[in-house]
Amino acid sequence: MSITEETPEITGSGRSKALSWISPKKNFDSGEGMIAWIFHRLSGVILTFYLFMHLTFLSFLAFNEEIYENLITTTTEPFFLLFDIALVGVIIYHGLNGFRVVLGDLSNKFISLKSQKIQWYIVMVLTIIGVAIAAYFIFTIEIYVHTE
Amino acid sequence: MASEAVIERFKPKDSADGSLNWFLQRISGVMILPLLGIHLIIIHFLTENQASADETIKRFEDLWYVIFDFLLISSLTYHALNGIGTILYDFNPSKKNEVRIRYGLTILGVITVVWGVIILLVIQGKVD
Repeated sequence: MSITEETPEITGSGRSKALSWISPKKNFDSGEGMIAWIFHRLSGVILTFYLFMHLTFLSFLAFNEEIYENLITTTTEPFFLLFDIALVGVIIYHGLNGFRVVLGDLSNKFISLKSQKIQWYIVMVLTIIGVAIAAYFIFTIEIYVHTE
Repeated sequence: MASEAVIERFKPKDSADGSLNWFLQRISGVMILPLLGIHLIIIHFLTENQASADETIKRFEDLWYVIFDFLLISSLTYHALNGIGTILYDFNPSKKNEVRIRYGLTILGVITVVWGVIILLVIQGKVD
């Protein structure tokens, strides 16, 4: 399977087997494939946490608007907007890298590992550009809207 | 032939459940890309005071928006919990624990989607 690059074979047993994928030295020695795989998992866990947090916020909108408005006032303060920018980065990375993995799965016989690495660098560059654009919009338009 | 290689890739091999989840993880992921993109554009570029309660409730006037949000919640929940399952299975649980994880995540997923639908309907009910 082409996802060899995404799901490297980990030897060992039980807990150590699973925990070995978060060993920094081993992973950073293993190249871009392993880093891409770890970032994808970490970003996935962060986004899952955010999904439940988002639904909780909307629950307040449905059942207690006062709490919702207070939460919105707090979370649109400049400090919290930094988290918004980080969230955009996590979403763009997870989305684009996931799309890259799907492309690799569909056509591993035609896309070499070298090409997949280049694609990953493209994903990283696009993520950085996306974060920069998001930061511009969030700190110009959003703050303007909420402090108007 | 390229198309034959692609078709071969989607034939279940050793685990029907595993293959189906692998396949649906990719389908839901590809679904989420445009859905989430549209969601973000509607909220951040097409709404003025985007996060306020009034503006958010106003968006629900359009029934298509409710259907759209339902699709987004369903695909996100499946994709997220299936992804968490994949990570947990990497911890090499016993067969018994693997079943517990699978049922646990399935129940959590159903509760989340039902919870999401209730939220959508209650907010829709607030539309004047």
